[in-house]
Amino acid sequence: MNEDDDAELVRRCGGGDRKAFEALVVRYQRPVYNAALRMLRNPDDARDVTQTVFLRAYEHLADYDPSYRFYSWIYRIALNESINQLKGRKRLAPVPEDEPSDGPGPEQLVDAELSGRTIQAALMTLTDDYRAVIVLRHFLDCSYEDMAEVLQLPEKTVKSRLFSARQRLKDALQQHGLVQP
Amino acid sequence: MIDERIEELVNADVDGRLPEGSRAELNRHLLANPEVRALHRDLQRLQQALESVRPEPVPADLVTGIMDRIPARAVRPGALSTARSWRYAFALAASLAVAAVALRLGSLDEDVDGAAAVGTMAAGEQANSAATIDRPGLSASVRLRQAGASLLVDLDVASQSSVDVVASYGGHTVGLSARGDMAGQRQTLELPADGAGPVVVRFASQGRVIEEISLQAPGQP
Repeated sequence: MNEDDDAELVRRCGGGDRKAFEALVVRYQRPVYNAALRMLRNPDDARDVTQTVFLRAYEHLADYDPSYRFYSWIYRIALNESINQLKGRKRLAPVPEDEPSDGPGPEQLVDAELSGRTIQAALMTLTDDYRAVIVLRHFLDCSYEDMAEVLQLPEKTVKSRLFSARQRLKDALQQHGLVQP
Repeated sequence: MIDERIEELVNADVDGRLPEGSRAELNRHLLANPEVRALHRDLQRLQQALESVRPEPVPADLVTGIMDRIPARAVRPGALSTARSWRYAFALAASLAVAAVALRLGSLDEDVDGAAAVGTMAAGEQANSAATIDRPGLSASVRLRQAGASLLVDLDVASQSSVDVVASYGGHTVGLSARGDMAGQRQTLELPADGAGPVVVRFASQGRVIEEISLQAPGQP
């Protein structure tokens, strides 16, 4: 993403330019939707959250601090809204019933032949904090520095959380026979 | 048990962020310690598995759905700043309930049926009449349309303080309270379409009407 472009678009939004905001929506709809989807699993919920994220962003555009990158701000809203949604619905399904109970054998795992649904099911067994760092790093391609900015945590803390999250994700996959112990 | 420093090197390598000059150190640990090799291999597999998950396409009408809910006119930063100070003043006054009662029992002298949120606009329906409001602390777009035996008043309100909205038509009145600091939240008021004359929509704060607009009802001259 071009940060200069973002800053210019945000500035134009502040002047009442709807087209500029629409350009930001177009630019960030995909990562925001995918982040919400990975956090929530349900496409309808992800869609609702994505809409809410951009409406909140619009609503609070005047509060946006341009010393931060726009995407880190919008990603933070996306994660917070997703977590709020999860808290609201009070349900977490560790592994859906339609997941294959006899997952791929160890030899298949060498080729990382894990379906998106299987990975998603394992993701849902993580705590929100752990899932958030996995989403940021692996699905939004954030650097450690980006993640620290999004989560407003020291980089060292982010790295430590990411390493733990990966370990737990690996354990979750192993537990369901999806990753070689 | 793997040392924290080694674990960091392994993770950094998997992320492609191994610091320059640390490759030799990591290689030494990989050669010397099978546990480190196992961790490195596991994390690489995990990385590959996660990379195999493709981004999902976004719903086709997502952008439209978002932009439809954005008020027609943006609240400019200056207006926001001014209005934000209003918000604090109004919060101190704790006036919403009093304002609503005053509005409903006094200023308008009409019975209020209460909020009648009826959902979002169905595809294919046309706005029959529309207006926008843009004043310090309050931006709103109002659209009137007919749906069967009802008139629907679609509201997009961006306000920095709590605002009561009351729509009247043919002796019927419905209303809702828009909380402060809201934007892009569409709500719809429903009125029976059996009246005559214009639909009058009033915005009030603290019991005082601050804006009044008239919309042409369908089929009315």
